[in-house]
Amino acid sequence: MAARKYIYVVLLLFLASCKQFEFDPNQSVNAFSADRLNYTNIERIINETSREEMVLAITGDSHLDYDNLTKFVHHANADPMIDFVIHTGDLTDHGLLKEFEWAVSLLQKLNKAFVVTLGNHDLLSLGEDTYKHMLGGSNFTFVKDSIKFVFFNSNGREYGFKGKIPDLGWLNKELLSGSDYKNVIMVSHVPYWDRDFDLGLKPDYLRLLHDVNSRTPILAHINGHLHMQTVDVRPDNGLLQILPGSTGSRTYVKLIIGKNGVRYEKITF
Amino acid sequence: MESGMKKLLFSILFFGIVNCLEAQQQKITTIQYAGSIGYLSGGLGIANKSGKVQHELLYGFVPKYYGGPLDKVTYRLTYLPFKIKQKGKWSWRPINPVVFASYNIGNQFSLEHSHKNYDQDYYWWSPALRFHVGANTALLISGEKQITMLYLEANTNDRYVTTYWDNTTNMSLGDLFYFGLGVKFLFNEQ
Repeated sequence: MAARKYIYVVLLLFLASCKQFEFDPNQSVNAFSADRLNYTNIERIINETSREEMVLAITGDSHLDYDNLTKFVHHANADPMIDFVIHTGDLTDHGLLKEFEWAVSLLQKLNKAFVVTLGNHDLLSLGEDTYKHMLGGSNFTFVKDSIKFVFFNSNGREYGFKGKIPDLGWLNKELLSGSDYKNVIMVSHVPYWDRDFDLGLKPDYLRLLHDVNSRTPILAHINGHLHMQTVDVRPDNGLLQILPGSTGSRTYVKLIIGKNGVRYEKITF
Repeated sequence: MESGMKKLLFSILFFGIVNCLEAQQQKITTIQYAGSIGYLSGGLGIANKSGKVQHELLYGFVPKYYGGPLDKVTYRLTYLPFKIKQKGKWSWRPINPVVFASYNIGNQFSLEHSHKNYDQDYYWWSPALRFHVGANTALLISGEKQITMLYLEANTNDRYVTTYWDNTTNMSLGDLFYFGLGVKFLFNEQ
């Protein structure tokens, strides 16, 4: 009888430690959540041997379209020239932990590194905490082959347009100091001309882009949010603007950075 | 949409209360671990004479360490259709459907997204209110004054179902259903 009780206790403990025990669909983390994946992926990018050309696959706005996210993963995996993947945000639809877990588990099937930007949908519910825990901080940079990659939170509407997002102080500090890079690539979710951007900050942001570009040329300005695939030179500042299109539209953009500048390919999969 | 959801919630509650008043025979005390209504939750309920139809009002919380802080209230309706085994005081009710509505209390959650920040239907779903369906399997032990019901309950909710519906090739039932363990004490009315 004592042995049977012991078995019950062990069984209960086993069940209680199981991933299938959910406390709340709105809970921000659980004991099994991935831990700051952007940082480990950045480390991998930095440590990988550089090639003649650096090739980025830029996707985004996957929301809940896991079937097409899977197709994207297969397509990118089949291309050995791609060095790493940039997701421009909206990895989830409701900012729920499970949605982060489902999408991240698919991205982890990539045979290359990936970096995920914070999108407005990822901020819903306790999504900001989940993103911080599973992927890392919302503003971050890294330098690879003398290019400074700057990822930042531009989801102004989610913070009530209070003049704090994007954090221009942080961007100024990161982009107008330091000498370990020659070029810049900027990545955020909401583009600066969109109504979900804090338009009160737009003049200062454009000034910042101008100052950065004249100091260390900006190779590409990358956003998501608009669910359309366009690559063009912005008439207001002459920067190469990339919108990869949503995963659902089955498009992404390949950015190829060589010694003689950048070129791009619009991919449909 | 807000009024539509409120109406639905209130009709569920109203139906529940009317049903209880008609045949209120047992009182329920519940304690539960996980099951999507809190890290720990507890509450009171009423059941009909046979104990087959159970209504509970539960409060649950999630501490910060486990992904909170969260507070939520839940109304749950459980139906125990049949038992398949009885041995002395023990009986097993293998599959008992449940439906419940849960609501996150607190400033960061609301019935719908703020119209100050967003146009109507910018985000169309409710962040605080979830509708769940599921089933439990229960072991019942009859005592002198009460029946003890130990149960393992699986549930899913509106958001997970719609996501699963759109992604059946990439999601499994394991992505859909989540568990909770609990104990209920059913006391006969004197």
